[in-house]
Amino acid sequence: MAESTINNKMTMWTKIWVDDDPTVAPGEFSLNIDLSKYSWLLIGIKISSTQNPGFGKFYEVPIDNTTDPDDTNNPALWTHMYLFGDQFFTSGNTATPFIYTRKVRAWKTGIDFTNGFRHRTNGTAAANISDGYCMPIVIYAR
Amino acid sequence: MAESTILEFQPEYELVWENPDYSSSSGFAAQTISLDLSGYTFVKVEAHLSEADHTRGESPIIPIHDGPVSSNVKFLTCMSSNIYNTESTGNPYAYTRAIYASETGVTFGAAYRRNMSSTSAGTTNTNWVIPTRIWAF
Repeated sequence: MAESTINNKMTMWTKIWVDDDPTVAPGEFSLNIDLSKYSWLLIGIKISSTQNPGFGKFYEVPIDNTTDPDDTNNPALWTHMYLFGDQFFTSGNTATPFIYTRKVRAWKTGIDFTNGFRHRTNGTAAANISDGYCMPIVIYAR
Repeated sequence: MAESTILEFQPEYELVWENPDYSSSSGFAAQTISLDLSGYTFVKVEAHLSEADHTRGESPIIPIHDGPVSSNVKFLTCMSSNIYNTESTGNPYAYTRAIYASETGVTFGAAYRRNMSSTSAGTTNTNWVIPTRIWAF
């Protein structure tokens, strides 16, 4: 497990998962973790597996009270996560501005992540799918 | 409304900083706000779209690092008001500012604005993405 550079002091959050290698594209995947004693997740994500280490954003995700989720009868609702590409954080940048997305849902015994997507914000071209886009790198629970 | 299946848990955020004049015409330059954050793990930072438009943007949670400053931490994003209604035909803008938290304070980078409907260059201005409050927990 990679060494974290984040303090872990008086927090009510417990670190429950860290990506072993943030350079590996995770694609669509699930984690089998006992979350029955928690109610929320805090998920740190970055733009892509090829980007330098560093967080893009942390998302709070509710843990649904079900052990057998599906999209109709026992909903574990998807949380929509997004990140803006580096093109938004500089001046004079004329590169195509992209937004990176991935959905996540959590319930008592697991977490699902969809594939990652990248969509240009200045056009209607179809989004690109990539295993490495909008990838989680650390998860806390409370 | 259907009964929620989500367990409730209220975080205890402690207010550690307020912007004394977030509508200042002088804006908010890139800077570090010195705070003793050694007893905390995360901060939550609230920001407004600009000194002229107090539309509140996201209030993201930021991890407090004990390692070296990274230049690749990018959190604060605000959308222009015209993407929140059906009447405006103005350009949709994204406003951004990099942010970094350590045990000794919170560092803000410069603010940028990028037109999301074109590939025209982004620009910078101190009047955008004005932080207003910081909580720690």
